[in-house]
Order: sequence, then C-alpha cells, then structure tokens
Amino acid sequence: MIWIFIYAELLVFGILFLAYAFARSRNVVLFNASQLELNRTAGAVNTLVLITSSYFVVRAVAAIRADRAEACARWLLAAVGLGGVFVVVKLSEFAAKSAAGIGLSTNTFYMFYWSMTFFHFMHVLLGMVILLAVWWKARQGAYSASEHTGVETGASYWHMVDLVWIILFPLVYVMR
Amino acid sequence: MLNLRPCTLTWLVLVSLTLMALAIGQAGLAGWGILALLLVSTFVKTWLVAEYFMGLRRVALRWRLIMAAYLVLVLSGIALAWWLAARAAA
Repeated sequence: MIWIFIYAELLVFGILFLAYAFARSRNVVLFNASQLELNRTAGAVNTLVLITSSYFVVRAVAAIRADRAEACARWLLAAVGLGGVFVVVKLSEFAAKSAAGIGLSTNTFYMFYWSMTFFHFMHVLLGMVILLAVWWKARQGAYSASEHTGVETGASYWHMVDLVWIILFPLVYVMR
Repeated sequence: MLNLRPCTLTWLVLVSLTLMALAIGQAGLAGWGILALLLVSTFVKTWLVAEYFMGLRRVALRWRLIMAAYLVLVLSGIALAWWLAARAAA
C-alpha cells in the first residue's frame, strides 16, 4: 500500500520536474540568470542533510530488525533532528528571497522555484511528523524484530522525500 | 581493508556525488558533457536510495521496474527539454 502512495507522490513531483524543464526550454536566458541568484551552497547542504537523515533512518530500521528498540528510537530522533536542520536552512533561503522582493510572481523561474521547493518543504514537515510518531511508538516498545511495519512505512516515506530532493537540487540549482 | 555496511557505502557515494554537483554549480560549468554527468549521477543517486535505503531490492520486481521507468522517463524528459532549448537557440 505504501508503494502506491509513494509512486503517486513521485508522479506529481515528476510532472513538476518536466514542466520546469520544458518551461525552461522557452526561457533559457531568464532561467539561467535567475538560477544564478540561488544559494547553491544552501541547496547542497540540504541535500547532504537529507541524505544523512535518510541514512540514519536506514540504521533505525536495521536496529529494530535486530530487536534494538532503544537504538531504533535514537536513530529516528537523529533523523528528525537533521530534518529540522533542513527546515532551518530552507526557511533562511525563503526569507532571503522574500527580503529581496522575490516571490511566486517575480518570473516563471521563481514560480517553479517557489512551487516546487515549498511543496517539497511541506513533505519534509509531514515526514518529520511521521518520524516523530514512529519514534514515540518505538520508545513505548510498540515495535520489535517481528513486528515493525510502522518503522518501515515511515522510513519509506522519508526516503521518498530524500529521493525527490536529489532530483530537485541539480535540476533547479545546478543544471544550465 | 574497511568493512563498510552497504548502507554506509551508499551514503558515502551519495555524499561524493552531491559534492561533485555542488562543485559543478559553483564553477558554473555547462554543456552536454556536464548535463550528461549530472543526469547520470542523479540516476545513480536516486537508484541507490531506492535500492539500498528504501529497500526496493527486497520487494517484488514490478515495483523496481516502476521506479526504474520513472527515473528514466523523468531524467530523459529533462534531457529532451535541454535539447529542445539548444535547438531553438541554434
């Protein structure tokens, strides 16, 4: 069931990515100039943060498979903490753009930039809520080596959020 | 000899490819070779996440095929859009 949900989400992001790419093909100069105004370092830092957070979630799943519920909870909390770092970096990026008077209606590039990154941002927030719920249940001893579907489901969602950003970062911040 | 877990090795590859993309962006590199490099590295990164983080390699083949088809479609669609842009500019 989780795979159907994940693929539905990926389909939506895939359409957005292609819409961005084909919109760019008609406005190359505008897209390239606007892209230069983005903070690539912040984008790369957030990629590293999400990748590492995903890695922590993998370790959480491995821990619960070994019946180590406390270790599972610790890895999950670390993953959520990195999710928080992503949120802070992204909010600072959003704030810098807003302060510069750059919004959704500035131009076509920024319409896509705001739409895609904010949509993804909302998924990060939802993913953090899911991971926190899984963390709470793990702390309560609700999962074991034989029953940990909730951990795997939450993990899959978080990896999907990571996977989407792995495409979004080079597409919007780097490719020109 | 380091004895790394597959997930740790995957994480190291992901970090390395991300740093490569950042270096390309900071240097302002462009062109077909760079685009191909970025698209291939993005495919490798997403496939590694799907296989080793999401655990796709342990589920039914159809789910893996859907993921592979999705990544190929999206990334080749991006390449097509870049080609159309270059053709329009020529």
